[in-house]
Amino acid sequence: MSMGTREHTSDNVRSRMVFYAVESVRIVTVIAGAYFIVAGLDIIFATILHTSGVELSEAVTWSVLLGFLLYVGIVMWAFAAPKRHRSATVIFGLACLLCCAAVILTPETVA
Amino acid sequence: MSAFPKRDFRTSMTWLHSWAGIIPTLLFFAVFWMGTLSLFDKEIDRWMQPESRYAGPLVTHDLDIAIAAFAAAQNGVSLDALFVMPPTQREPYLYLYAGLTEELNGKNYAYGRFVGQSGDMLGEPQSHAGSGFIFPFHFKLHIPGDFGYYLIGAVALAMLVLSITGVIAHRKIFADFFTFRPARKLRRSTLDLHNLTGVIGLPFYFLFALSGLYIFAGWFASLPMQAVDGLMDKSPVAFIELADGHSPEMRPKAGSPQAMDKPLAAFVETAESVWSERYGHSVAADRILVQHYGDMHAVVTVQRVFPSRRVTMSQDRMDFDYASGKVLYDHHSTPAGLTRSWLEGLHFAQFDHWALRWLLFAGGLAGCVLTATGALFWMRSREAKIGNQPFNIRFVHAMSVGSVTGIIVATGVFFVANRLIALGMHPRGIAPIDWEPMMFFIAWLLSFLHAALRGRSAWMDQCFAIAMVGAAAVVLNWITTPHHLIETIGSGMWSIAGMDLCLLVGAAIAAWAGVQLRSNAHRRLDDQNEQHSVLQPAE
Repeated sequence: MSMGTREHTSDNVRSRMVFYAVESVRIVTVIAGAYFIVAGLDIIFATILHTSGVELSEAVTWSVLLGFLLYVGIVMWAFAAPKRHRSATVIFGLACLLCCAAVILTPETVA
Repeated sequence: MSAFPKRDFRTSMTWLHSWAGIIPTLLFFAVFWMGTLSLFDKEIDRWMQPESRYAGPLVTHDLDIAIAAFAAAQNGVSLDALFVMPPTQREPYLYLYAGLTEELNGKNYAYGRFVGQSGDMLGEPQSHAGSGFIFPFHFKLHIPGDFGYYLIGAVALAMLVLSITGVIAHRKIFADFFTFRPARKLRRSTLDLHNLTGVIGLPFYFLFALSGLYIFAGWFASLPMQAVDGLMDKSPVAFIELADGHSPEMRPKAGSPQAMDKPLAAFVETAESVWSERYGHSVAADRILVQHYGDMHAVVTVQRVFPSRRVTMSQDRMDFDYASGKVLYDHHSTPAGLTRSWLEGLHFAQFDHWALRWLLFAGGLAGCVLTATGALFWMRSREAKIGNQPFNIRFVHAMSVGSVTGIIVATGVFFVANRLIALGMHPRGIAPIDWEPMMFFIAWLLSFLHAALRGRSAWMDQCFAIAMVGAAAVVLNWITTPHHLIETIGSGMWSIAGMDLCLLVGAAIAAWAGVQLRSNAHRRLDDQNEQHSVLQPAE
């Protein structure tokens, strides 16, 4: 960062404030959104495994174990993607979608 | 240059690596440091709870005589639940813990420990010590409520991200691995050390972060777990399958009393013989739990949690109906359960294998070096560009000093406070057991203040402080207990001797580092003076 060398004109300060605010929202969206994507996928994956005959404790264990690794992958993808704002939007959308799907799959407890 | 560099994959991963690293530096070091010490938490317990030290061969207690003595010591208050752990090499006493049906001396629980041959019972420990303070510190920071767990969970996720992005950011990682230039500029050798410890410990950092997350999956993945748990109502196969549809926790009390005169040892023997037959080798139980003690519905649970010669934890558990002796529940590992048990067993490190324990200890210390050098490199490279004046550099500097040397000083103070309490040196009105953690946090806080005020010299000062508290702890152990270093080495009391030796080695390293830092500072000052006199020749 080169904050120290910049001229501190008021315009510059304001644009920098806006920049940091937007970036903060984006970073929080990625960090939290990735969590909800993983949570949604965990529920869906465990439910699929369980309905196809895997014991429930086993199904949840596998999905949660894989979920943590998936989280790391999603965060890295989000920060590597060339268009940052688009990746944050995609994550936000996917998180909403997957959590809705999970709620539909397990209506009694989540709702 | 903006805060975000022009991106290709590697630069964006470098950006992610430095910011995901520098923000939680304080927490990384705290977790690595306290986690590393937790590998020897039981040895620290022995050092801080001298009444529980014991050097002789392990004594096999008669379980039922000990329980009777323990129950008799509760002044007529009856037990509600009873938890028993047989002695091990690292915890050389029979441990008893009970929930009581009513309050006794303001508490509804009681502890008892039987050390060595004597039938005398030790009461509640007078210090949180290693397993009560240092061990929980590394996964919840002693923050009240659940917030600490989530914070450390976020740190563990950041560690996973760092393990992968680090490999990408340092692209010549295997060439760098063989590069160490201690004589080169400090910034360069700091980075070399960061790369070295990063590559050596990579599998360790990754697996410990992942297994740590997994141990607390009940918190971090509570959303999916609870959601899917809801299926249990509809499913014949429960999350943990239970015979008779009742876990011991769920089985209600009958309400009618039952004399607890049958030997518990018989249940333990039954479970052990079933397991030994199942696995083809001798298996010992390490946890015994009695629910609804004294009730007709009393349940005896016998467990094997930590096999001594295996990393993978065991899920073997048998529940018995106390009245009839009937087996209510017999559980053992399943495939996903085994994967989980391996990861968790690796992290808990309760196996009886000293070489592996020391190897993990080295991994933990490498993690400390990794964190410290990462933060140092971040600071040095920014100082090189923009000088050391801006607030954010000074802030990160104070945070780094406090979180690296500060927490080590505070840990030393924690040990010293424990031994000073034995000399009666603690404020009246504060229980000794609370005074030690208080001293820890006061010392830690002061280290941040000191770093903020002292600037660069803070590193040196705090290194000398570590050397002093380390040496003081050994001397105080010598004064306040009969187990001084020569005696403990002679009698083979290695938990105490090892602790004293580690304190001395740590103190010596810290003193050496302090001396190096001081001579560097003098050299820098001489260089500056020289430049000054060259620029301004004498008139």
